[in-house]
Amino acid sequence: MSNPTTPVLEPEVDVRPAQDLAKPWKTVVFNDPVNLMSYVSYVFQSYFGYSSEKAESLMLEVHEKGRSVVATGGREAMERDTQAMHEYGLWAACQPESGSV
Amino acid sequence: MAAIDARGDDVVLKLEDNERTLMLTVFTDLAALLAEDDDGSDRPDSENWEARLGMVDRPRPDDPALLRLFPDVDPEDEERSEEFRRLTEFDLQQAKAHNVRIVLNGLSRSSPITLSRDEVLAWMKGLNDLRLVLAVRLGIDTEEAQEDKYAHRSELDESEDLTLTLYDFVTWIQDRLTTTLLADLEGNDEE
Repeated sequence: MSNPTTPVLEPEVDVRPAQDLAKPWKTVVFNDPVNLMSYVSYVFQSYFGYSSEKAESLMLEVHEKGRSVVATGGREAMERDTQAMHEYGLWAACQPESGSV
Repeated sequence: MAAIDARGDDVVLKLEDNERTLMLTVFTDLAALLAEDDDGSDRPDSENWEARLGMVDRPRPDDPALLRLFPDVDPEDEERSEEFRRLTEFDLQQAKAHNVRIVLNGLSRSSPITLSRDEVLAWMKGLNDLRLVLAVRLGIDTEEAQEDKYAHRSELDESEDLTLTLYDFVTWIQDRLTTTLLADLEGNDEE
């Protein structure tokens, strides 16, 4: 079999400090007037696998307090969760645990 | 009058002709909005692989509707948000465009439209994105602004009133579809 020369791409090197990766991060969901309470509860149950009770209480926290931390963990996992929330159309952010939010 | 029923593994959506035509129009508009660059031009396909690999800078959208669909990963960290946008926004855009294609595909069938559970999920996401865009166009950015809009409905001009009617209609469809999938999850809880 022939093996044509394929262009080699320089992999993106992650230069963030090691402690940055170990530091806990969080996925925060913010309130907005558009997202339906039923939909937000559905997303928390189906994406995170939370019980209906937990999903409901997080949803109410978003609704009443304007925001809720819906997951914590490593930076990459929290970025993945935030990206998933954005695909669902929820207004979410990934922030370091020490962040002001 | 539109109606939604769960039937075995499928969900059946009945739409009047005018409702289906209106939905086709607005979802075609949403597909176009998702395909747009910030200058309003279509992105050439040749740039797609570079975008997929995070090699193309993606400017923060100027259009508030696009910014709501593609928010900053951290509103308090501009630099990280910029980097995250470069690395992930293409994938998010593709996912959203895929959902809208599934909606358009369903709407192109004649009513009653039979949707699988997977299609229902794509519809829920697509309807939600549509509602986010309509809300921005209507100036609904807070719960107070939303209440105000309904309280002063009689003062709205014709076009805004029509947009609000459409917003209510797609809200109703999204809520019904969500209730259907929530009932599935609750059914699983009991097993």
